[in-house]
Amino acid sequence: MSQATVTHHHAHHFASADDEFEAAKQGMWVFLVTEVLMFGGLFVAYGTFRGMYPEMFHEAHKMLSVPMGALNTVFLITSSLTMAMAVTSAQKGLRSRTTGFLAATFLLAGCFLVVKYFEYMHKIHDGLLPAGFFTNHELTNPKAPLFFSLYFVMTGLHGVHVLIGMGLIAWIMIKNQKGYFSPAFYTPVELVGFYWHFVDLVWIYLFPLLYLVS
Amino acid sequence: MSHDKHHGNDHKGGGHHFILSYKSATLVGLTLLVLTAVTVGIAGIDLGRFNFFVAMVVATIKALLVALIFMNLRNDKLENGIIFGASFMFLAIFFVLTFADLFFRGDVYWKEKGQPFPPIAGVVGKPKFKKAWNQTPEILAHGKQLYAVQCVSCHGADGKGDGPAAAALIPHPRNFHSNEGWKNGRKLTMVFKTLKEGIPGSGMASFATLPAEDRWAVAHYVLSLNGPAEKDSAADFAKIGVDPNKEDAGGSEKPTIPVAVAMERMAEKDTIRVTTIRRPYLMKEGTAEGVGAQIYRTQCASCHGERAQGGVEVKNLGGFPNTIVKTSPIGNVDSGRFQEVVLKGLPGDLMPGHGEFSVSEIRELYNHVRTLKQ
Amino acid sequence: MSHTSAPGENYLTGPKGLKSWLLTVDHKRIGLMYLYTVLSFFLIGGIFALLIRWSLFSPDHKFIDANTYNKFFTYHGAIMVFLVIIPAIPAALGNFILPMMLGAKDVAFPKLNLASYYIFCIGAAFAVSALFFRGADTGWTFYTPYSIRTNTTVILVLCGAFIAGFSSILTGLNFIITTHKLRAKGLTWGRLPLFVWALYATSIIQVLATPVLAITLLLLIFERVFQIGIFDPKLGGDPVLFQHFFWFYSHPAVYIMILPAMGVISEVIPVFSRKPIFGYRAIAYSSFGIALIAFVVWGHHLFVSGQSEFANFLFSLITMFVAVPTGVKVFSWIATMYKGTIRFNAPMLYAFGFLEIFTIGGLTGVFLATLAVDVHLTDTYFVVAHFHYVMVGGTLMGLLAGMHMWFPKMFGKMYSEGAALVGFILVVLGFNITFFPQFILGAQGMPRRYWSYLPEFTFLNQVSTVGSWFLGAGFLWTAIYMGRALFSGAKAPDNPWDSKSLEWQSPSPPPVENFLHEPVVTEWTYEYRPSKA
Repeated sequence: MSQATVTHHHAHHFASADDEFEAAKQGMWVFLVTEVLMFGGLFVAYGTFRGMYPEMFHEAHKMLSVPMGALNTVFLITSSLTMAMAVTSAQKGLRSRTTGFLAATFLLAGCFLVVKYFEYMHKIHDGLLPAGFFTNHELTNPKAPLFFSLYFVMTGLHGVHVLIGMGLIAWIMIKNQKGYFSPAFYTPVELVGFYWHFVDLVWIYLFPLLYLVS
Repeated sequence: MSHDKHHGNDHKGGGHHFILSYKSATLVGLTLLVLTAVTVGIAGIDLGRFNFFVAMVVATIKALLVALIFMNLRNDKLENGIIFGASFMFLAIFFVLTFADLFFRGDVYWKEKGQPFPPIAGVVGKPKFKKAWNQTPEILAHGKQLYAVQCVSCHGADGKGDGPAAAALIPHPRNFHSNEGWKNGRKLTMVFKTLKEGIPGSGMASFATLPAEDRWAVAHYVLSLNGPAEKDSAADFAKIGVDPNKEDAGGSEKPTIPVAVAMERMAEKDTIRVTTIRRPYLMKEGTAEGVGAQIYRTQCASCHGERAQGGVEVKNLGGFPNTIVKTSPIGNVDSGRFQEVVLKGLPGDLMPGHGEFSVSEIRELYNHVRTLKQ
Repeated sequence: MSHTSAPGENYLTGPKGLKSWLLTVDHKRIGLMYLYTVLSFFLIGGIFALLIRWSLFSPDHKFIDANTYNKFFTYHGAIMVFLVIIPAIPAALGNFILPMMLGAKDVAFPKLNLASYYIFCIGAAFAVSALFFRGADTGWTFYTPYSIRTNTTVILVLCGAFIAGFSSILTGLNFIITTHKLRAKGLTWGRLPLFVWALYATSIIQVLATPVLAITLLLLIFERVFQIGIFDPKLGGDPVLFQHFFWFYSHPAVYIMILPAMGVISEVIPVFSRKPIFGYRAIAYSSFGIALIAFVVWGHHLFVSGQSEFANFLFSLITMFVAVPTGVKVFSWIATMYKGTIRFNAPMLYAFGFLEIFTIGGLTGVFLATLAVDVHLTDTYFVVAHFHYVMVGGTLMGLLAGMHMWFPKMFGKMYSEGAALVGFILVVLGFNITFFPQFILGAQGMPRRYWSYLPEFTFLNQVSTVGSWFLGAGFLWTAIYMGRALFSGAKAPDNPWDSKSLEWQSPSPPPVENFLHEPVVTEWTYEYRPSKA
């Protein structure tokens, strides 16, 4: 598959390439449903403990850095924008431009993880760890460790999704460079785009819930 | 978004593929960034409980922009919208019904540690009836009320033992309109006893979770359904541990505690950790190779060492990733505790239970371990 | 098409060799691999069940100690739930039959289908590997805080269930898209066979509920590894929250188990009664009714765990509604049989077995849903009996009915009807002897999961144990005659039951791409006329 353009043959059990595209897209939507419910469980746990211990949440969230969280939000939203543009370029068949946008998305995702890394290191240094390992002495509320359990699990699971997303973006970037996609076939680009927007979407909720507790 | 174009049938047989223009994408991206700034800005202003509300509304607007425009849900097939929307509907169910439990558990749950909690034997707070074994119209009425809640499903609305669940229960629930066959006798104190302890081997459960005075009330009501009951003797009262000269309805009963409190109590009880390294004991050789020595050599020595001194490094397979922990020496415990630990193991610890040993084997083992430690 | 199968060649005789099976993307072969795997785990889970019953033969007849007993019922529960009845009908029978019923050449994402099989195998390997370490003794429900504290290797079982969950999600996803996108020409939604409707509703539950199980088990794994404390009262968490999480999946999961069985029964009854199904729409929609209600009743598992009174009342009330769509189905099946020309072939026998056992199971469910009664019956053998009546009576009867119905299609061989009748009698009789006494034991207060019991309960426990031998013999017998038919059964005609649905319009066993000609549907699946003979 090294020649400049590869014509894509649809799988024989579909009537047409378009049917295959629609099926793949719908499959992706169903997959995103499972993602919503998986993250949803964490949000239910969050809601439970926030409802029970509102003062503790207010006290504990001050240990998080709003500028870093906001910076990460900017990174992710911008990466969502470049991803959308990558899809547009792929639809128009502009191969090098697609690669450019995908690379920008990849880099922004990387920036997100770097900021996250510094945040984590800072928390670990201060002993702001999940309940069993919590050693911080500044926070006096006995339930405060729970906040950091939630913080690490929620942002951690989200971080894993970012990592997977970076892998996927790298994969379609290579395929794109090999000329695998055309205006007639760009399904993987669009679907990875869906996935990436979803990762953004989760963060849109995580940011105010964790960093901006009133 | 006048620049958006529909690419119709020109490529891809029959499908319409929507292409988002760079300009619209940029506009949406900028809007999202502005909204982020709004979220951060508003968080700095104190709006009371509206802060949370506003933050969630802004986040939802952002989420909608991403879903509708970046993910292009607005031009997608309706069924895809329904699919994605359904996830939020079911998530809402998850939220609402879980919270129907968590935020309606009553005051007990919210008490901080150390504060007094109302004992559950006081759902009613202070006792309403003094000397509850004396029948009064009030207590009878109270008993009737409780009966309608606690008893009808089995014993029936009229007390004929014909409640909806009765068919499944063998032996059938008591018919209160008959004087025959009352297992504990048809006396007030004995009905009280039945309510407290239940009747093993039948569907009659213990109602010890009801406050004692409520049980007296139900007993009064049940007996009122048919003719006068037998008189209670002082011995009957003694049997149930109630002194009829005092006012306390429950006698020597201890109050039960609510689940939430039990949970906290459980949390306070610490579990024993393996990792603590205690002073190694200096020990002599074990004596002759008896049963105890054999069991020790084959079952215990691999972890606790040749002389019960502990400190052996073992893999903790239960934890993940596998960690290496040092075992404890066998502690100085009495034979009862020793037997318990050997049989059941230490929950939350690496020490497994050895239910396969007989009591006499454990005694041998105990003696052997003691000789090891002398 | 690029390669059509040569005349006389079918999916079994197609590409040869082990590799061609292990790397196949043919839904029929994947379905068979699932079937064999599930049946192997059924054997393992069944052996544990027999050992449990044997240990309960009398209160002091103990060949295993209490700790081992705890492990045995945990293995029995975890294996049977996660590795047998959840995948049994959808992943095994459904994989084989669903695309054929739709007139499709394969499922929408064949590679994903194969991946889901291997994910299942990896999950199963994790779960079963616990047997070789220190086992697991939490019961299949993994309740906290005990599951955080126990020194057994429960973490392996948790990982296993976590991984197997993804296989379930992928199967569900595949089926939804297949049903949406790959129906044959003319096969409108209103003409779909009811098995497809049932599998579709099941898939929706799989996709919506299983992710919550994934996050629950993940949190529990984190609980053990990182001590996050969300479910651990010692660290400030809430163990009852775990039960909410767990049952938000596991209650819908019982409908993942039962709905496909109901679908099978909906296929069997009209075919063997020679009558159009009664209440087609009602049965189809009631599957969705059940799927929806499945998500709003989970709290009835928490009636005595300290849940708020308000939630208790709410869940008890909503639970009652489950009886409505279930009743709609049962009455429609009975109305279908009414004045039909009933043939007593093996699948139909099992459909009768289903009706008897499932109805008892369903009705005792109403007892348990009644708040006041449940307080007495919680954690007694009444619950055990109820659960087995719906799950074994429902899912396994459905599986057996389906296996007997589609055996000729799958393998192109016929089994002996006489042998099937003997097997049926052993299974149904054995089942009732095993589990009916447990209703009585439970009503009398015998707690479940106990190693020993009061001497009063001895007789009924012995009856139950003897029944378990009959049940075991019935399954063994079924395995024997089906195995025999596999090798030396008579050749099956293409459509031995004279059914109208699409899978029978293809040769037995079917060719690699399912149909010799692309099928076109012109009428409803259930246009049967009673024979006038």
